[in-house]
Amino acid sequence: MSTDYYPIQQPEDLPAREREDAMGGYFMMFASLAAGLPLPIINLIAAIIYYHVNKHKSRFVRFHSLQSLLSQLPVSLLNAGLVVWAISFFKYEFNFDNTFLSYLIVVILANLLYLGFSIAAAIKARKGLMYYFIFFGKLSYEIVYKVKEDDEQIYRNNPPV
Amino acid sequence: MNTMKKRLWRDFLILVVLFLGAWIFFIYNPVVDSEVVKETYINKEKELKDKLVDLLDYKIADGDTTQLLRSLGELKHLVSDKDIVYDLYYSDSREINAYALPSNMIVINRGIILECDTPEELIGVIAHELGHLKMKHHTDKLITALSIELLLPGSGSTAGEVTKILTQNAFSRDMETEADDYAIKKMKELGISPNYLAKLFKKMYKKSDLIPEFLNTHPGMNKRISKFSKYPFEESKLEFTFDWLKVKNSL
Ligand SMILES: [Zn+2]
Repeated sequence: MSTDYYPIQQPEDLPAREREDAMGGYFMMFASLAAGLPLPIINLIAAIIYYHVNKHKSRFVRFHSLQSLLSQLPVSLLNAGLVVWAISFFKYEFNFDNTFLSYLIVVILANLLYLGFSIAAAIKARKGLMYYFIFFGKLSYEIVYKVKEDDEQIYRNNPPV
Repeated sequence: MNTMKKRLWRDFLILVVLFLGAWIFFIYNPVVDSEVVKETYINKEKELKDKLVDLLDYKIADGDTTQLLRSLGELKHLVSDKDIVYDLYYSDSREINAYALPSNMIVINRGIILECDTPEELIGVIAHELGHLKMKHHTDKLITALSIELLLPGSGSTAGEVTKILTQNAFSRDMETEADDYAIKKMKELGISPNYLAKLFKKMYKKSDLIPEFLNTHPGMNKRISKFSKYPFEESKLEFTFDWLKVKNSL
């Protein structure tokens, strides 16, 4: 298994356009606000679309939009869980207990943390810097920068046969 | 395993532990007392209920004030379900209707009482409405509660408008079938032939210019009548402390 990684671009090599595209990924979490619908799924869809539109621009852009997308997954799941749990109160019984209350607090904290880290990452990206979230940063780096064995072949030009 | 994979696993475990740890921490160190929140919610629900009863001038069936309310109270105690505590109300409306509302309320109109030749028919009606409550057909409890709040005096709505909104909230055909099945079960339990309800439906059908909750969306009125008519009519052996005719005449 190859453990080679593509070099990480330095700020001076990154045109302003790419920095802005890298920053844009983190703003997808506000997509549902723009759409005026409080549905977490809209953010997720926006992030997926953003990633697919921008992934070929450069590894730097791809890394940031992938990190934004991946880190949004668990937050979206937690939010969806909260919505389902809350709806069950009105369908069944109003079982408002400490287990739910605590979950609510943790989900709010998770959202705040996610928001804070995303803003930090967006600022860094704008400056042409990498910024690694716990887990998602390493995962995105691994996916985007790791040299895959067949990569070389795919991008190699061959003489006519 | 290469080091990157190890680091990924380590990070992942940190996140899971952080999440579960925080969740458990706040379960044992609650920021607010969930019991207080729950109580506030329940009080709010009660408050809304009282406001509604007040606005629409519903009379609670257990009231000991009139012969009618005493009799309705007696019927209510017959139609009981161990899983559900409900309140039965009388409304002085001429519309031939009865309806179930969120917060476990059943409202019986003067119109439908006058239509019932026997208390057994009314028991069937109450059982049908109790079926809606029992099967939790009110999924929009909060929405209804909020809309009541918005409609309450101050916003300039009349009692008539509120009633209209509350009663036009029709249930689906499946829900009506479920409520009917529950009514049949309940009536059998009480030793009342479900045929009593068929009789009431036939009378209501003749006055079909009125489309109360009872007739609306229903799986075809004829189908419904035949469902209840399947059961042979037998005089019920239930005894009441009141004289139904006298009760009706008092209205
Ligand atoms: Zn019904």
